[in-house]
Amino acid sequence: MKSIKTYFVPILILFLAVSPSLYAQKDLQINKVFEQYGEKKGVTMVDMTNEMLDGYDFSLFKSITIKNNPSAADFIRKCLEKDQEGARKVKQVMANGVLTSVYLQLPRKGQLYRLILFNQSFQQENKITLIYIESKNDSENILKLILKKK
Amino acid sequence: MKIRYKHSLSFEKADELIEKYYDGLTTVAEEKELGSFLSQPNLPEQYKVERDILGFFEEKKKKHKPTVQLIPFERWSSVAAVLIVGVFCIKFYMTAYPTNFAYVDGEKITDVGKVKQNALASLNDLSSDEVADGLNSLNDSELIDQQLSVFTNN
Repeated sequence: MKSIKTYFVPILILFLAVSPSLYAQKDLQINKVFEQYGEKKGVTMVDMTNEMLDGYDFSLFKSITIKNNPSAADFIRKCLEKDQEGARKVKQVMANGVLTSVYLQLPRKGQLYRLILFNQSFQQENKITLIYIESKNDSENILKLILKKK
Repeated sequence: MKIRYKHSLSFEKADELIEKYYDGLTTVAEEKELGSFLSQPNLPEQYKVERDILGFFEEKKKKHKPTVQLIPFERWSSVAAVLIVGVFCIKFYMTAYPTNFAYVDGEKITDVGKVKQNALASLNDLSSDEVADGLNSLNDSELIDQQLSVFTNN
């Protein structure tokens, strides 16, 4: 019984120490979007950890693309309102008073730079794209990559 | 058979030490000697009072003795070892076995190539024309110059 007590506390400390880096996105409101809409029809959700993408090393890459779902767009906007508190707004596009695009640089968590990217397109179809990125690379560089793709 | 106890001190010597004790002149060694004498069984009744007094003080001393419990180094080192190994295992697991998946219309995809394709597609969505145009205009110094020139021409 004594040995359980002896080892329980260090193991608990270990998990508490490691867990923030593993689940840095869990404290964000947009996490609800991935949970709520991720496995629905008309939705594409991507979840990658420790992968290279287009020459960039991402610790975590999560994206969700939702088609023709205005209520989902409203829900995402509400989540973004909360998540942008304390974040640096890099770019923002408003159309008719509605947020259609925003790039947010969140405060770093440990060594990780964190980014939230959101865009709503009305060109061919109503398409919402929400991306969450964690990377050891500077978030400015990641943004440059995205803009370069144009 | 009768067992005879041999007292460590003679009664005369003990009386002498007791007298010294009451006068406050005994040394630590003498008090110890007296203590061991009084703690012997089958002492005559005349030493009962002294035995009680010294016994009380001994007990009190024991009660107020601060106890510092030191945790053995072996235990702490083993706990530290478990902690370090645990951290490395988790880090290794996270980097060695990345979890990559995608859901397309509710269907799970685990093929890394296809997952990456979908990830790139979502990045392309983000850099669509209308967003890029809007973003470029934010950095457009020419536009700012044009707007400022309105004031300088006047």
